[in-house]
Amino acid sequence: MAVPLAKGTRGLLLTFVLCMSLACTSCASALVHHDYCIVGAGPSGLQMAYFLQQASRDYVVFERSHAPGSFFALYPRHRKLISINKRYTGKSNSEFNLRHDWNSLLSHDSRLLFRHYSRDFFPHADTMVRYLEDFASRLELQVQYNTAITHVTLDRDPQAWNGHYFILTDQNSQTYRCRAINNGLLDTYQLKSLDGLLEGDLEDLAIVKDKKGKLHITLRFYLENSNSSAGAETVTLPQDELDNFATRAPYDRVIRCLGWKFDFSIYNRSLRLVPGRGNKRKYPQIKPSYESRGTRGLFVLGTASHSNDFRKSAGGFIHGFRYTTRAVHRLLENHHHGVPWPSPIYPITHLTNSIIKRVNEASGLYQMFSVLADIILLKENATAFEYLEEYPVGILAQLELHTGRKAPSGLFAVIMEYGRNFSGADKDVFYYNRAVGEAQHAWQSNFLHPVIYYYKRLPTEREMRLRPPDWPLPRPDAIHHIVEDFLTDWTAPNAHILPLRRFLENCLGTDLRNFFAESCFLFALTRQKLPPSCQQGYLRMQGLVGSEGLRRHAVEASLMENYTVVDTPNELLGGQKEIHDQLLKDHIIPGRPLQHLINTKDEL
Amino acid sequence: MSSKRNRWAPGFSFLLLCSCCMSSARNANALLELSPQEYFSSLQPGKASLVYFSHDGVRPFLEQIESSVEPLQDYGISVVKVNCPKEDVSRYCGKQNTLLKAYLFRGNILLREFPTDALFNVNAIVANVLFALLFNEVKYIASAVDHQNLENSLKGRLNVVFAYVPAIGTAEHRAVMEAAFVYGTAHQFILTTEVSLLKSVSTEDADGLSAQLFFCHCKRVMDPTQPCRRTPMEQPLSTLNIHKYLKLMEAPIVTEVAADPEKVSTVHLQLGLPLVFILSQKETYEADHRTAEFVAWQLLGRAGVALLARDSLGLNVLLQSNVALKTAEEGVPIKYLVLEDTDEIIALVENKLKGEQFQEYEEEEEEEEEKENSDKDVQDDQVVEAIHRDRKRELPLDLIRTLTEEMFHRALTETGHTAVLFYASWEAVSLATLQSYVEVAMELKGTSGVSLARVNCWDWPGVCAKQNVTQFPVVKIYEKGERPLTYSGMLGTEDLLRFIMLSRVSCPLKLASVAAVEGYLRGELLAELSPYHTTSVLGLFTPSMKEAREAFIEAGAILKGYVTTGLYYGDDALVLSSKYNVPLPALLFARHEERSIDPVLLSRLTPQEIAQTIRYQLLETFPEITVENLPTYWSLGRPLLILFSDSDLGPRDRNEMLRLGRGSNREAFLACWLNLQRTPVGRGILKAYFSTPPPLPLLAWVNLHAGGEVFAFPPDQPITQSNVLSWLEKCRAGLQLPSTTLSDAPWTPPLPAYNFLRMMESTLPEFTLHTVYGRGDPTGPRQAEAVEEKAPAREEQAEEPRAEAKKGQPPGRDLRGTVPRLVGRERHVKRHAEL
Repeated sequence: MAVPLAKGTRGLLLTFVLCMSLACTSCASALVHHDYCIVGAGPSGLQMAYFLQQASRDYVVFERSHAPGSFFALYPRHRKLISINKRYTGKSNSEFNLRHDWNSLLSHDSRLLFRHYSRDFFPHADTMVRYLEDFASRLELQVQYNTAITHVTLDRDPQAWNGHYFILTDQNSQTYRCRAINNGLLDTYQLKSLDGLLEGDLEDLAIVKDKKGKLHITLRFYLENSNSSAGAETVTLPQDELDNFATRAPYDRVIRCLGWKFDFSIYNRSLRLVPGRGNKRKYPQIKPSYESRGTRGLFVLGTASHSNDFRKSAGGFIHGFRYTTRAVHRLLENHHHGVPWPSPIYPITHLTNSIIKRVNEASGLYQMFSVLADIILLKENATAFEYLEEYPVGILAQLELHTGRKAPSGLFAVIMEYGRNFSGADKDVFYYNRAVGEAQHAWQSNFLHPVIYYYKRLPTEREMRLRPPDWPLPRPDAIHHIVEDFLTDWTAPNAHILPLRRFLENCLGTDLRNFFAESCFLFALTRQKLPPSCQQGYLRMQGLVGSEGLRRHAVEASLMENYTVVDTPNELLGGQKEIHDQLLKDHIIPGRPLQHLINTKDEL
Repeated sequence: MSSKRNRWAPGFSFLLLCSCCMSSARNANALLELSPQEYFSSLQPGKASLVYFSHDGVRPFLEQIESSVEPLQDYGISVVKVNCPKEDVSRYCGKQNTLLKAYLFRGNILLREFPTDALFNVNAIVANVLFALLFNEVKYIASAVDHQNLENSLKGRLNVVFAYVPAIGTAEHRAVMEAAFVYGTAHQFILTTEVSLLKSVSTEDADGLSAQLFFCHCKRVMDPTQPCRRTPMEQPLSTLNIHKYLKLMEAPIVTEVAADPEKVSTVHLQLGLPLVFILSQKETYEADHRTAEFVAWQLLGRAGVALLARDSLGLNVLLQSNVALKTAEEGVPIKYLVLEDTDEIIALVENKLKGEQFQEYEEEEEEEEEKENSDKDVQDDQVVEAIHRDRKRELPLDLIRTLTEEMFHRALTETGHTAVLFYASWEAVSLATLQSYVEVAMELKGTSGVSLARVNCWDWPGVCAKQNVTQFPVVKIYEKGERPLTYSGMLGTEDLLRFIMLSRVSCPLKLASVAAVEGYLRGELLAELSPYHTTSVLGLFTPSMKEAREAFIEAGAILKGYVTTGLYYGDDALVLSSKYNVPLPALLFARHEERSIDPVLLSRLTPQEIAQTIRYQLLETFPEITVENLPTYWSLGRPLLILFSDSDLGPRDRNEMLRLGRGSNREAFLACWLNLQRTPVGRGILKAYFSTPPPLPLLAWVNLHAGGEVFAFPPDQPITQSNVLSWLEKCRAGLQLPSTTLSDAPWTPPLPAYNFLRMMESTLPEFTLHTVYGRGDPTGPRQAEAVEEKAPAREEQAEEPRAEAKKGQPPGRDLRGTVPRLVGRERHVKRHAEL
């Protein structure tokens, strides 16, 4: 099963914080002003720079080093990325292929796909450095190298977007005034051991070096008990007593991989950028919109934004945050430039297809499962809908504010989810009979599968807050699961599309079947109302005529009638007088006339 | 919500009965075992108990007795086994033959001794015990004379429930007794096992093999010489059926209604039966009432009848309507009808019931989840199913180039005209279109300058996005140096072929000389296109009319692929102007089939208006309606005067119809005809209009866009302009009865969806907890959070007994099993309605 195991801890070594604030202007000497300042030219910094550049916004990226992605020049020390680079997926669909490309950033330039840079499934870190350099230079992104931002503070000004400017100071005391900041810093590096992973408290271990310079692992307990003046050889090693002790072999090097923490020190207290709680301590506290909880206009992107989906989704890694970065960019476009979230409008007859298309190819939904959702806003009377891609589901309640779109008649949220009991501590992800095969049991699917939530109106913030833990959204008015699929190919007409159509039909109270032109013709002349596919297709002169053979199939399936065959044409349609007379006679022999009732209408 | 509750109010006693079953069922349903002393000292006055005595020997009916503990408990009867000590020689323990009997006590009074063989199963036990207890409520009668006497004595006082069962102790007997337990005080029950007595009561041939029940309306009989009217119960005798039946018998014969009929609810509707409204008004009230009563008696037990004051109706009901039918299905609007006699009403209801029985049948099947799902799993989309059935056939796609992202632009430059089908390989409509496209490719094989290509958007989403293809299928024509042309017509072989062929010609075609103009108008200039178009349009301008000319050129671009247009603005324009007798600027329409050239003065000069004018002029006065062209004419929004014919029209009919279509009528309606040979689906239309196939040709007036009435022109009159027009007047004035009225039922979901929310609720209650309240009140927070955490649990209790009953009871046809299931069904329906 080609499902990425991104859910737990493995992922790419990518550390990156991007905060966006608006306006960087230098106040003191030569005040330099920008609408957007990005701190750090790592993957998410460059990704955001790309989107801002595409939108022709005024922005700058500050990079401490002389080149982008300097983290990867040093880390990981073993020089192997753990983010996959699957170059051949068997499909040509570029959007789909991003599901298996965990290193590329998003851009319009197909040359900037990582598969052109490395043939390795787990690429070398140097390749990432080269890739990021190319990304910055080919796309001509505005990166100011050798600039280390050492201090960030606020300057209140009612003229500014959020009532304040951000004042950034670099190592040369040059100041920049920004209207928004993207901050990119290294923060975490999560261990991916190629040998194995041992759980234990480092505090209990000790390392002793023998005469040959080899390093032995022992227990702190033994060290404390032995004579400290004695040589390493006298220290008791666990294997002395336990000859299969796991780390009994001596080591040449020990690498400290204890992770990184977000560097809060450069932020002035007034910014109120504070660490998260519990195991999210190393990340700054942010809202589901990736804005700092303390300061408006300060956005945290990249790995540093992983607190929103820590150990749940892929937001800490390139293949995740490239999408959340795009989402933040769309939010900014709406807030600051009045450019609403892109939302093409389609007739309702395309609803089933739109969903099927997206769940089969969309990479953002797939990588950022349970975090980003496609939102379908129904137009009045449910004859059409707007389609918003990859919206952060955590801010669904404020959708109208954040996107500039209206949700007057209900909405669907299309999201990908793992089963509720799939992975986690003490769970065997390969347990027997783990896959669900039948559409009617789809809700018990374990692997990543599409889930569609239906709401008659936008959930309120309160409902969002009170939703059960581990649920991406509050209780919907109806829910549909598309059954998990071995090939993650959800295009089977009976197992996938049919149940989805029934769900949508029942939410909308309409009939979403397709009809051949001949059926629509019949409906148009024998009924006052037509099903949407006839109304929006046939009657607009775009009916589906279909071939002879297909119509025959439909007749065989009893879904159409064959009118060309008339058993005994004389009897049925012959127009013989006597038959007609007989009919008239039959008609005239009434039992008990309702004469007075008929008179009634005459009088009226 | 509250209205739904009210709907169930009449069934209250019913539920009560069942909930008392529930409560007692939860108590001990084990057999009580007592010693003789314990037993006799425990007897309470008025409380019935069934007891048998045992010397620890195995008793043959022990098992049956044990399983009757629970049902008897529902009627407050306890079942006791008394263990006799060996030495006991008292009255009951002592005698040997007592051990072969069971005894029914009320208090400490012995009511009845039952021999073991009378208590052969649970039905027999319950039936016999209740029969003994309800001695007064249920009279056993063996002769017709006794029956007559009893009935006479009850006239004017009580109604009679007469039941015949072939034998005592059967399931039917039990059902009757259980009903008597509830209704015994309301009606007098009569029970018999005599076939001769049944024959004296029943009008039909009674063989006496099956149980039967009659309701005898004796209470309303004031004259003792008059007989009591009898209504047979048609359903099999089960407790639930008898209950429903008695509810119906107790309801008023005719309900009088003066409110919105959509809101009316009677016991009939609640029990799933239709309700017939007889539309009445003050002037005819008496007669209407008599009719209603007459119908009501005919339909008693099968449908309700209400007398509806016409004033309470909305305006949208036809004046002629005299009857309305409301069905129990939710969301189905009331049907208003024009019927001529009461038999029609009865036939209507009977048909309706037949349909429903069928449905009920289906519902029964749905009891099993699996079967329910299998229904939903059946594909009911004709296009998807047709494609699915065709999936193994390989299409001859070699005539169509498959384009990829890399070669897309290069491929387009290789031929003058390239048609490209953008589609998705998993999508049914796309694949159906692809089949027509293949047929087009075969037609075009060998035609130079045109090539057909396809792009699978599932493989190349980037190409499709760049070509602005956001939905599929889409056909575009790419021509060197021109903007691509998007096809917006029917997705069928002929229409696609026509579009591809016509789009190859410049539009408009610039004509340089009068000779070229004449050749163009005669159809000689574009002779190769003659199979694809019937009319050539020419724009005629003087050299100075630059603005009008440019607008015409733009209009031509709009119509490209659909219409052939030519343009002449040379020096001889005025010569042509006088030849065709039209001032300039002008359009000429050369209709090749009719060999006529119609000039039209061009007065409106925006490109859209010109295109609109051209389209309008291309419409025929008396078109033959086909599947492909109906939308064009439908969009005019006019009623149709349509002549159905099974062959080509005779010249007489054609001329009369042409006359009708012309002139002042042209705006009022569309005269058209339908050839059943070329458009066989027309037979389906006739079937919908007329219950029996009418003679052809047949002229019908179809009020498509307003009201949907269909009128048939009297076949004995010749179709002449004057006959038809005067008939139309009558139709419009409401003086003709429509043959039918087209249904305006909305298109609702054909089948329900999987209710995953409900399935999840049972295993993932946390999903529901907050949310019962969270979503309950949109006006805002109502209570403190702490209360909220607990409250839902309490809320859910309200539904608990039902849910438990549903799970706890084995399915069966008796009261306890069925009621909760019915309740469950009702809830189910509600859920879907909420969606």
